[in-house]
Amino acid sequence: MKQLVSSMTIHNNIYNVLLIHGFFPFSSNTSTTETGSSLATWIIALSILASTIMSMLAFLGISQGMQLRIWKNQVESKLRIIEGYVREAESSALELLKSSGARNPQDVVARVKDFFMIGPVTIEPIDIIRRLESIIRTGEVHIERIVKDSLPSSISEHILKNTVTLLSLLNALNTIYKYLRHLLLLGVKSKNAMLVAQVWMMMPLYLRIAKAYREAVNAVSKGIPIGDSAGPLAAYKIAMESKPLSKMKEIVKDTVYGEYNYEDRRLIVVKAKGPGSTVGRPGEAVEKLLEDTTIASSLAAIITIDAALKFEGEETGTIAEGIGVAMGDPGPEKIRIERLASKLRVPLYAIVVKMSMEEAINAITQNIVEGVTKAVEKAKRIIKESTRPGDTIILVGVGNSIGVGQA
Amino acid sequence: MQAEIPLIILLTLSLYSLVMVILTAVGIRSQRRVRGRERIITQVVCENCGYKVTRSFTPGDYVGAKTREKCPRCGSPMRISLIFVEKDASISRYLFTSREPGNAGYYKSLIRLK
Repeated sequence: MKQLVSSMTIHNNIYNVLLIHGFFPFSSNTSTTETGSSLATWIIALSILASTIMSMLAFLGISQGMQLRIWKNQVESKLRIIEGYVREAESSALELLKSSGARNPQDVVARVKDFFMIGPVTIEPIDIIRRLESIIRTGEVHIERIVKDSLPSSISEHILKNTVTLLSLLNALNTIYKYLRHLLLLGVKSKNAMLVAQVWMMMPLYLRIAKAYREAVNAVSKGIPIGDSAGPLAAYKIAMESKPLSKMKEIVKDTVYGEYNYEDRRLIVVKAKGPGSTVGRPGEAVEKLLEDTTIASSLAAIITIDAALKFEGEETGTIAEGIGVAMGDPGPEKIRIERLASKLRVPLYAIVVKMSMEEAINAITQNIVEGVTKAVEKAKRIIKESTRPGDTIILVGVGNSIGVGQA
Repeated sequence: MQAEIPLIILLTLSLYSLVMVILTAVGIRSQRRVRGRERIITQVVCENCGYKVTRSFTPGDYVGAKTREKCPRCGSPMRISLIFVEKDASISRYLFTSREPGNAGYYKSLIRLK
């Protein structure tokens, strides 16, 4: 109360000072503009009253409630945008299924939209990779079977793969929408201003992710290569620029390899099978290739080329080279190559093409294509500098092969 | 009592409304420009002489696909070598974002913290 009184006193004092110094052009002692003067007085009086009320509300905690309402309204408006994206993705998926002759498109969409996978137990690390791989592969195969069963048997493989990816995008958008709505409703229900504030603060980032998924729907439904196709595109280019020793063939599910002669070296190019949307199983493919003792005994290097997330401020399409396996999988594929390389004492070279998260899942841009050309040149340089004629080199183009066929 | 609104308040309100109208108009215009800026390009290359032709993307195109098109130079079959999105940058956007000396982007890159 004491603070309130002092606040009002300050307001009155400020008003008096301004009045004395002639701040108000229509003050009461000016007879010609009496009406204007009274209005100005009213405005000042009302603003003092409003600020006094606001101070009182601040003490009573009501302003916090008002702030919560403002955050809630803003989050709700963004959620409506994401909900619109979900509906757009759903109608695109339905359209693609119907145009491909699917028997029960509504049922397929409903089943995949809320599909989920439960991660393995992490407090027991033994065989976690195998358990994770089992869960991921079962999920992939299951969704593919749902879509395949509804489509006519004559449908091409790349349309099937693109439809599965489109449905996965719908699933991702739906999960983002539902999770954010859950946090908002929970925050409002439990009057947890901090929870709502966190959602409000993170909303621009979530909206950015959702927008990227929404735009990816367009690229995937048309079968256009995406930013993540940089790896398979680099593999295709290097294969095209080398002398073929064999045609590309499937080695494991959705993964192909071909043998080439590059500068008198045996170059084995591995990539996901295109032009359908799939990342393949590059780790398993390398493992199977190295079962061949002639390859394993002469192997001099394993080179991986992949798309990588750039830091803010970095240019899209710039490349960087390093050591290790350039692969963004959850673990099962990457670990196979790491284990084999350490067992055979073979160096692992990595080349990455930098891009943002949005660019990675949207139609490939000119900058990324230029980056791919640079990555191919870099790979050739590594081969020339680090290996000798007669050696075998495995080059893996890691990423989604949508819109990228075989050489 | 019929109160007369002071001129300064009227002017302030008018100015505020004008600024808001201009900002909204500019916002809508830039959003439209962003939507109409992208074009998907398919690059087709001759398998014999390497002659390159670019055209708009058509559904069914993919990198590595052999096309029905014949090379305008030697008549050999052609193959799709690239598909990418071409961004049609406007001149104003180019002046503000290009890193070439003389453009705003160049000076922006100089003052950017590395």
